[in-house]
Amino acid sequence: MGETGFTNEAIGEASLPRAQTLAYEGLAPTYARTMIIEWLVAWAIVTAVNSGLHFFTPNETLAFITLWLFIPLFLIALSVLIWAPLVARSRGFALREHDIHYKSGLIWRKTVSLPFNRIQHVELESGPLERLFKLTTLKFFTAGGGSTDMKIPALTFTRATTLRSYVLEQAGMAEASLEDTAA
Amino acid sequence: MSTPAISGTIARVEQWQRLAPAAIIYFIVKIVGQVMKQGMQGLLPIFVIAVSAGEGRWFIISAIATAGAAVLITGAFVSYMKFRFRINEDQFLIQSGVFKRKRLTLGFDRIQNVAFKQPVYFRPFGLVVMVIESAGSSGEEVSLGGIPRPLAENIRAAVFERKSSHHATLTEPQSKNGAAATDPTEIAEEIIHQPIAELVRYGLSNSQIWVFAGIAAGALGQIEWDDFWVLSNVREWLDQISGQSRLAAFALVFGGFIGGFLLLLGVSVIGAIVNYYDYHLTRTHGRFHRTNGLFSKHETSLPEVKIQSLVIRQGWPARLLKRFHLQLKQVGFGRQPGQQGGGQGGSTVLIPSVTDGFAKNFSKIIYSGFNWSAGDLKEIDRAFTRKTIFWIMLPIATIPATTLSIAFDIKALVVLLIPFALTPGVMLRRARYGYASDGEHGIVRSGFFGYKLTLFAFYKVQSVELQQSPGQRRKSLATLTVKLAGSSLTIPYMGLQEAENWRDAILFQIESRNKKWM
Repeated sequence: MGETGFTNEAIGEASLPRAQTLAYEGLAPTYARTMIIEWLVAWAIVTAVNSGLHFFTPNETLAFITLWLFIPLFLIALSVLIWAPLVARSRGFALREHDIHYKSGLIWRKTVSLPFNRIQHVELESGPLERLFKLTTLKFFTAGGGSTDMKIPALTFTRATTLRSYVLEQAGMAEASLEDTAA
Repeated sequence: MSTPAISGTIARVEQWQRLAPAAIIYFIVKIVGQVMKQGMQGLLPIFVIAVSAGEGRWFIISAIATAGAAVLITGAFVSYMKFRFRINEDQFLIQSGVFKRKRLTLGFDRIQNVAFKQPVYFRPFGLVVMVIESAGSSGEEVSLGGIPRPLAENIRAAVFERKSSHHATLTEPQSKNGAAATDPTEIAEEIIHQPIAELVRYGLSNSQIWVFAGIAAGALGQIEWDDFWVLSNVREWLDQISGQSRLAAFALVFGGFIGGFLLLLGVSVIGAIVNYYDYHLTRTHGRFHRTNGLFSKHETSLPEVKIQSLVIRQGWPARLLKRFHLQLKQVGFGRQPGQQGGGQGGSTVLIPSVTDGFAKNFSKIIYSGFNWSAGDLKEIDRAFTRKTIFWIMLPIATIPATTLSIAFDIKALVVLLIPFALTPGVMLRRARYGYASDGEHGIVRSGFFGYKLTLFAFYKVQSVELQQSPGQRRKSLATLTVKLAGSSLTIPYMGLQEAENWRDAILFQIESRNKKWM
């Protein structure tokens, strides 16, 4: 392991680098807005169906149930306005020399850690709504399974591409040092 | 390392080669297999014509059969003629296909594994089917059916030799720490040879049948027997035999059930013997080599570097027999993407029916320097039981409880007691969870009646996830998910500090050791 060229060697085993003390970077400020829009569109569809049922059904029980359903629907719309910004703020990523971390979740908090030298490929994706707000989602894949291993939403295009090229560069460097000195 | 013999045969293989002529049989079998798999519907009209032909039926059937056989043999012959292969510096090249020409180039560094199979019909000719498994999509798996065994062995040796010279020293570290203590010479070290008695044990304890039997028993109980007039005849017959005695009738049905079950067990045992007959596992130069099979001999070779994890399984039937089944997990190339864990894809090397002592020693062969014992495993927090009952089972139970009590009777609320009745089961599940680590390797145990113990090296991990619910935050607990290539391990309700230590140690191992994970 002497000549690995690994630049992190100063770190002794006794004091491993700690991942929980990381400072996470936030996502785009417009992220909460895209979330609210997404939710309200879904909400509007459900509400429209409910109203349709309520006003046009000949069935009295159904009309009664759908009338009462307006209350939770209203509460949901209201709560989206409150929790979307909180959720958006709870998400963020942190970069270290050799890995990337993504935290998410307001109630159930989750942190995913991905070492650069395990990244198989990276994808940039932006849906119509994201394009409207000039945002993209960066997806990282490892050999861990078919699904996305890490997904960082709401990045501006320049930020996403910079991040991508940084990660790929780091991954490439890790790969290269592996090829040279794997013994 | 390259002997003159190898370089000699390999020099020959560097020009385009055909398979041995007997490979035509292989192509016939393959075509028949494909027709069976896909083209059965296509054969249906022919069948209908033959059946409805009346008088000249036999003539038509034999004409069709002759024509079919002729097409089959010609097809196999042409396939054989069109199939060529060669190897060059660092690639395997294959040309195949009759109507659609296919050229495949497979770099040695992409080759995961070279396995040999010997179907019955190849035995007299001394030929084998060489299966080249590549990393990446399963579609790139190549079979060369009909190569003389010595040539196949030389090709395999050459592939791995060139592969390792290509990657200079990649496979060396294993032999440095692993093999040095046991076997530095060139002679294959025998790891295990399973006698038939052990295969019988494997057949008996392979838990799928027990699960099936359980379901079948449950299903039998569900059936309203009177609905089946066929069965009422049976019952009459039973009544006749048993002289109207209910007990005797029951004994007969029960006996029949047991008989059926024993039959299934017998099938399983025979299956185990057919599959794993003459099971040999040896180890040379940091590669495991397995041969097994009664009718068709399978040979698999697995470089230690490719092993992602070692799974030690003990289902409850195996528990009664005091045996364990080991699995060496590779990257799941035989699997569909997105599918995780479990499944016995082609990538798993199984070691059936071993004792506790062997399992322990074997884990030391793979993970030398990792001293562990089941007693060292730490248990997860008791909050797991409470969470499972109150936050998962109880909410699920409320759905039938409320609907049933609204629809029928308030007494249906009794359903809400089921989760509490299941408490001992949940407690058992909690007790089965266990984990241990020495900073470089990890063990995760889970299960219910039986258990599954997964050993893995930290540097093989792909990503780590740490999750906390509000309740876990209050008690400084966390759920850790470790993703390996092809499987994912979860330790629920471990101490937060412990989970963070695991994460840090795993990341440190991956990032500092810079060892290839496959």
